[in-house]
Amino acid sequence: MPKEKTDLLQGTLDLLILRALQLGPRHGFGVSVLIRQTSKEVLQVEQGSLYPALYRLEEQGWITSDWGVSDNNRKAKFYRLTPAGRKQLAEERASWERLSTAINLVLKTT
Amino acid sequence: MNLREKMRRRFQGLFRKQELDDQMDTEMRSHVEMQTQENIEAGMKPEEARRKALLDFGAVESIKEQCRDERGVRWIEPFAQDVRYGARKLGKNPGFAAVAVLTLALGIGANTAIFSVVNAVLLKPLPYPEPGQLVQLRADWSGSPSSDIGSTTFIEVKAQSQSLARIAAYSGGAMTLTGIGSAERVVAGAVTADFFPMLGVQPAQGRNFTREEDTPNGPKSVILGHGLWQSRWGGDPDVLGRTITVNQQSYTVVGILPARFQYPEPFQLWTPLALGETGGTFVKYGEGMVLLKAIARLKPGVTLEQAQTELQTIAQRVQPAQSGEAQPAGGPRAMGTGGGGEGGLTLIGLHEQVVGDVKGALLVLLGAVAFLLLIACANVANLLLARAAARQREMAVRAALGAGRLRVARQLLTESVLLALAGGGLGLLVAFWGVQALGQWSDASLPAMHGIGIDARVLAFTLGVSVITGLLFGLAPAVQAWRTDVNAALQEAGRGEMGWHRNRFRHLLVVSEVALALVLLIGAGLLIKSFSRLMDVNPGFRTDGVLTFQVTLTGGKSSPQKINFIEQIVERLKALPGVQVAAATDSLPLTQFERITPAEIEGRPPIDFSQVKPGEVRPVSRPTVTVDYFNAMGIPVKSGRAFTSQDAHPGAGVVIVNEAFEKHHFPGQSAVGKRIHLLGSSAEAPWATVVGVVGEVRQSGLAGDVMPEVYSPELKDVGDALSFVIRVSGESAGLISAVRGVVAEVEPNQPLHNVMTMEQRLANTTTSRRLNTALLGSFAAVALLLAVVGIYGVMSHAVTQRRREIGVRMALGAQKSDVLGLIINGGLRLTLLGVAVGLAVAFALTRYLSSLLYSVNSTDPLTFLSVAVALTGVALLACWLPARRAANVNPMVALRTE
Repeated sequence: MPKEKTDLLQGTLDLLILRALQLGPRHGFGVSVLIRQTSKEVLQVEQGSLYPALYRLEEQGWITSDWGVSDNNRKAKFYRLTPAGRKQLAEERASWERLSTAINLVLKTT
Repeated sequence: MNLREKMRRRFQGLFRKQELDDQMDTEMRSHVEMQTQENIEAGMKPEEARRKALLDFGAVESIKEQCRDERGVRWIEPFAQDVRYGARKLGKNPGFAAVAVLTLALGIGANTAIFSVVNAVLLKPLPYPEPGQLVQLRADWSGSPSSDIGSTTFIEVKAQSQSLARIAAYSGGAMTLTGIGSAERVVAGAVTADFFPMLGVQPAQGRNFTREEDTPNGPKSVILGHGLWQSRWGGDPDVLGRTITVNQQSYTVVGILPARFQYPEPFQLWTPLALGETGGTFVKYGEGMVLLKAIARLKPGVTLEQAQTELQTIAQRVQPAQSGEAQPAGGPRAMGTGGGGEGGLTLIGLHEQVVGDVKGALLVLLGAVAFLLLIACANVANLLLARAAARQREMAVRAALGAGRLRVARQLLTESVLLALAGGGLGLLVAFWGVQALGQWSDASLPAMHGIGIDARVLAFTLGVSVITGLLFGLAPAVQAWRTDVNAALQEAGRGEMGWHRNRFRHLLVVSEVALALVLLIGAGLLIKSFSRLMDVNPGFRTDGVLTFQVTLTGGKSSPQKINFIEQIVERLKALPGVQVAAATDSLPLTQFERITPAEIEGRPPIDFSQVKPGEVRPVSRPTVTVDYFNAMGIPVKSGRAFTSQDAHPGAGVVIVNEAFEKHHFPGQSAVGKRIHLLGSSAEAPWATVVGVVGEVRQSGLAGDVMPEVYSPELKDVGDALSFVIRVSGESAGLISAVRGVVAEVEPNQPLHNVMTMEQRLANTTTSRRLNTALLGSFAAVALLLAVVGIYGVMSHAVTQRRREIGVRMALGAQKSDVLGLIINGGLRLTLLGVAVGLAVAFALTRYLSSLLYSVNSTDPLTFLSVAVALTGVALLACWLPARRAANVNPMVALRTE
């Protein structure tokens, strides 16, 4: 496993996936690529977490899926955000921001 | 995702597992391929790129499994897991499983058996098209509704009614079939031409009766029932169109009914009723009027109430015109009150009419088995709770490892339902056996409409009951598991202590068991008490050593012919070896044959039928008997004398009355020497002198009333339904063939039927009571057993739990008797609470038993009290055993085991 990989905090994977899909529908591979690239290779999503998470989010009704064709003509399952997912993203995002601000405050206090 | 979408996915998860798995496979493969592509673009060699992509992806199968968990199949797969686990767990504890399954099998089996009867009798509709539209007419004969209605009324209703689509009449009786083989008595139904079309029945072969055949002097035709056709003609189709001899007259066979056709009455052969305008040819009770039964089909959209209102109007219009003309002398029992006779008309659904009295008894039994099942449930719940105590550690460990509460509760429920299903399966076997045992009952006292058996509906019932049962008794341990605090449980488990609320729950179960068992026991006690009261009733005649048989004369014998027939047979019977006395009558007790009429007393004003109100004139029964009848039947002569052979001479004018007659008409005086006159035979009937008074006889069974009776020895008015009575010394069974021989000598083609002793006849009248009593009694016995086992189980478990406490108490100086008292006290408190609740419930419920009781009040205090005391006593015994064990606890051992 690459050294630069940082473990995701419990619960943040859902947030990241929802955020990735907010930028447009994409397949599982696309989600993992987007997270890796936008985090400058820091966040590596393991497929062992990614796919169960995708299925869970779909089960909860926050995302939905359709079969489509990828850029290089492969059959792929594309996920996109539902309105409920958009709301959920907003909530998770807000709570994440509260949490990180708080942690930062604690860390920066001298 | 909305609910519908969710449900769709669930179902997909269940039934399209393969398809969804394939999709998942495709999705992941495409992921790997995309990764490979990217790797290649980054400069790797193709093989290297693919290997790297696969490595990065990780363990595909494990990921798929996790995805499946997330998908909508989360429910079903763990369920299968639960089932497997539960089965394994039960298999490891066969003793527990066996006790639980047996208990449940008993409860579910009893329910299934009784339900199969309820299903066959109450739930299945009559096997005719649109059975709900079929109704039976009833006439209100002086306050007691009867399905016998006058033919004149029938004709008027048929002519005037607008609300009935069709109305048909029928009448039943015995007919004699001769010609081939021996003479045979068959039960025949005479029906109007409308009868079969109204029921929607078409003969399997041939045709229905025509209107022409259904007129007084029309062609004589007959339709055969399937059973008779098979037994008598071996199913020969050529019998159609042939002539057969019925009651010494020739009838043409025009039809054969289909095998599946059934009617509530066991008719084997059918003839046209041929009612005509006024009278009939079949069962003639009085001048110009026939009593018959009428069934009708309501017009579509007409309710029973609407039709009934219309019939009431018709009845009011018709009946004033009839009075005077329609005074059927010696008509059916309800008739003889004189007065207006047939009153208003009412309608009852045909099904309800068929089901009749059985309904009450069946519902009581169904309620009783439901109680039994509840007790079984409570017992199994108790067992499960005791086992749950032993499994507490297992549950706690599972919870600690992350099993959700719901998951644990669900697993426990699955185990319970498994148990219940096993119990249900075994219960079906119990039910098969029970249904067979009930078969004999169905012959005796159930409307013979449908076979009782286990069909799809019964199976569904059993399955439903099993699952509900499982959930019910599984709830206790599941709730327990739900409440369990993991930390406390892990700490406590080692010491085997239990939470207080667990005991409270088990106590609640014991209290309800005792209460339910008490209700059943009280019900059974009431039935047993009334049965024994009934058995104590003196029938008024001898039952042992009295052989009887019936003969129904046909072919219109004249009075002298009948007298000759009777005298010859009585003479020859007397000559048989072992016969002490022989006699004949037309009103043998328990045969339902009874002729009834009002009586006038000399010196009192004659009865004016235009003035009397219903119920004002008490009818008397008027049996005709041969001289030795009282001797043969063992009916005691209370005062005066018995008949002598001179009394039988025409014009002797001598009668004997019973004590009921004497009490009613001559209170405080002797009836001997008084002169009376029976109405109805003919207006000029001579006055007769009472020469003796005999004891009362229960003519219509032990539970029936005693009628005032006037016995006449003159045979000239004797009816066609005769009974012969033989008093035998010793065994009567050997005489039966000799008796048949005697009748055949006198009249070769005369069948005789119901050859049996009075003892058998009496037993037949009590069959259904005996069965109800036996059933409720055995249910109560099982309930008692289960309840006692339940109390014993809880008490001995409590003793085991409290060993340490008892040890401490004894170490601190408590005596054995203190410990004994402590445990018994606990058990007694539960029992008494259960008894109190049970008494209250029984008090509220036993009134539903009233119709099954005889001379016992449904809240009979003695029964309530004695059953409560007995149950408490038995419960104490069940507490005493564990209490003794507790008293024998060695404090040192008890404290050391910690």
